[in-house]
Amino acid sequence: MRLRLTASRGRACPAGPAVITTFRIPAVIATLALLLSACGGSPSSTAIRPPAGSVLTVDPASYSNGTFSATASGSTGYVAGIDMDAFQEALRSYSVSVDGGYPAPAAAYRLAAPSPAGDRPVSPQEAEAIFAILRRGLVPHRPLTRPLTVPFSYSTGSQRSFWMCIQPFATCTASNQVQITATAVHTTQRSAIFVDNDNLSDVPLALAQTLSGAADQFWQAITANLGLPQNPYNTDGLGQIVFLFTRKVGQIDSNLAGFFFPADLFPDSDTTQYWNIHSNQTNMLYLHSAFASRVSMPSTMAHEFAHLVHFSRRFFVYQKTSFDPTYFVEGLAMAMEDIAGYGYNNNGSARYFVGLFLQQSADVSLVRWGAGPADIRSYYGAAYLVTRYLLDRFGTDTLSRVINSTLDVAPSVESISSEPYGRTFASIAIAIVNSAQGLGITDPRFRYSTIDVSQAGAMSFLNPGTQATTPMNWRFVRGQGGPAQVRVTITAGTSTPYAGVILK
Amino acid sequence: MRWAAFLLSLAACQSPQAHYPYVTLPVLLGDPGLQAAGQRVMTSGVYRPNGPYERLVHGVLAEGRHSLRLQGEAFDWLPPADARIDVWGVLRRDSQGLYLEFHNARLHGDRTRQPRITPPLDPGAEVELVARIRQVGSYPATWWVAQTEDRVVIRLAAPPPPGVPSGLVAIVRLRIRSEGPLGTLADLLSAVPLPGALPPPPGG
Repeated sequence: MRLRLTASRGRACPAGPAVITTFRIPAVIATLALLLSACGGSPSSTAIRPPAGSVLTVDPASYSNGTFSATASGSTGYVAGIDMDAFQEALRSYSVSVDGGYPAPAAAYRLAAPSPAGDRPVSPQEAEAIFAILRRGLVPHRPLTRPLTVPFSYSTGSQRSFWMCIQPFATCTASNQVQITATAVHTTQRSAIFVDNDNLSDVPLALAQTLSGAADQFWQAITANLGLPQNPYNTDGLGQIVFLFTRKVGQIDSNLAGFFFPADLFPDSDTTQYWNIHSNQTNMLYLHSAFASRVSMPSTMAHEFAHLVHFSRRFFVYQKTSFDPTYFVEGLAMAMEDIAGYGYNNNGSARYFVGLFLQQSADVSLVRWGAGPADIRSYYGAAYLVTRYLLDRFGTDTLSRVINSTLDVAPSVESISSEPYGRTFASIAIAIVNSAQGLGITDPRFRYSTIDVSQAGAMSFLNPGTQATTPMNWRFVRGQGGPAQVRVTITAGTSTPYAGVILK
Repeated sequence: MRWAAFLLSLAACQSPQAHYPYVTLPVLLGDPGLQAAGQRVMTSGVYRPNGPYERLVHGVLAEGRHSLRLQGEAFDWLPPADARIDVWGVLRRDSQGLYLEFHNARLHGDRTRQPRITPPLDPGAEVELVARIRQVGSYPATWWVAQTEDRVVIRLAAPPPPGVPSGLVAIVRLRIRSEGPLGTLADLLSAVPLPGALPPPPGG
């Protein structure tokens, strides 16, 4: 094992060390070694000459006089910058250039200005000692222990009425919610397939049996990963989940296949008084009955069920009343489609959505969900690539660890990754390019271990030059240097982004 | 120490939301009477984080031979490693014992930064707060919340104007619609990015 790195003192070291790294050792050890040496107090380094095929993550503190530059043998430079700072609302910009750079690098490569502690191997003992400290989890609040109500249970043939919004939720009120009378076409211990009496022909018994069978299976897979959906109307988390099929879902959005409505988990007396909206006081999900026979319906049900579990655990078990940002909520649900067996590698919607993202990434800001010109489904693709990466790199329980905690998403991920959140997003960007372009980078920090992004389709790149960005908007840039070497330069403007850099 | 405990409990009884009573770390750790879970407190020490975090406050606050675990989310400022800070938050207990749930901090003695206490949120009132604005939830049932430094969550009745990114720390002006068991519902009247303080990059 051989480690080479430079680390310069950041603005808040060790909370925000400037780190420019190339690693020749496994990622975990590299991370630990980084932390051993990151506060060595060395001067900043900006003229980096990594060897061919190098991969770098660039932190904002890595810039010197507003510039970061790296040169290596090769001909192509990929830069994926991402501005993580939502402090300013205005559009910001930085620029990227890719060219042939300096004369050929010296044969005996060394990073500029190595830190005193850098450029040395880390012993397994050192690694293990720090690993134990860094990976120490945060202790969650205790779960619900006192039953609040008896879970509802339905048998086949049951009838009941449900409140439902049939217009965009921002304008939905108790006065314009409609009431639907529905029949339980099929029920099991875990699921009740209710169908709007106006749309009963959409979901015949055989289909309802198939769907409830699927529900019972993904219930097991998702609850095994995330935990049980405990909330006031399902205190032990073992109660039935109601799947209400109705064509009225399409009145909200004709392309909408299903949704989860959190108000249903609160007492109707409270929601009507304080939110001016009716609650069904039920663990339930809404599905478009016209799509019930589509092959994608079980994955849609699994996706919405993941929302129900996520919200229940975050809100009711861990009292995280602010809940989570939409990109993470949707990304988690997409990842749970994988867990349930309907995901990316089973030709699920995730692959299609990732394909859209690869084409439209420049228009996708993760913190402005659906606000840009990109197809709304491309946001799901981006969100999926985030959560899939977290699972691949940090383990299949990562999302569960994030939501089963009192911390927000970003600090919770940091507690698991032991690195700044922005650097994780720079690494995700490298992993996306690596997989989409088949670059063969094997470092586990920079690859997906379970999916091949190239299967989703071709990836579009921006040209070098000024990059106008919004917060959490990846700008994937590709440029040619060469013929013998390539230099990438990132010049901060009103934005100093995190970035993933590949010199190939 | 008993006198400090009395003052602390008195402060808590009078108005548990009113302020963060200051107590030194040795006094706090030396008197179990001061360590009630849920008690707000301000104290001082040297912050030693467990990792290179930007959003997470997770480490130890040390004062001589005394130390207290510190954990929580950065709000608008991330304490530098090994800096002497004044920190405020809520005392909690878990399986590892006592810790301080971080609300915010400042460099020791920097009186330009003060704890921001959320005022009463009475229906009909207009209030001005510093809060982080976030878009949360699953599409299409997303909504926006404003979360204050002392972790009060206010649900916004309507999305903020276009261009306001989720995660923005801003000076917000709200008109309170209702307050009840589901929390507070408010109309967002204005949101101006908070100037000055170094923000932690949010996004999450």
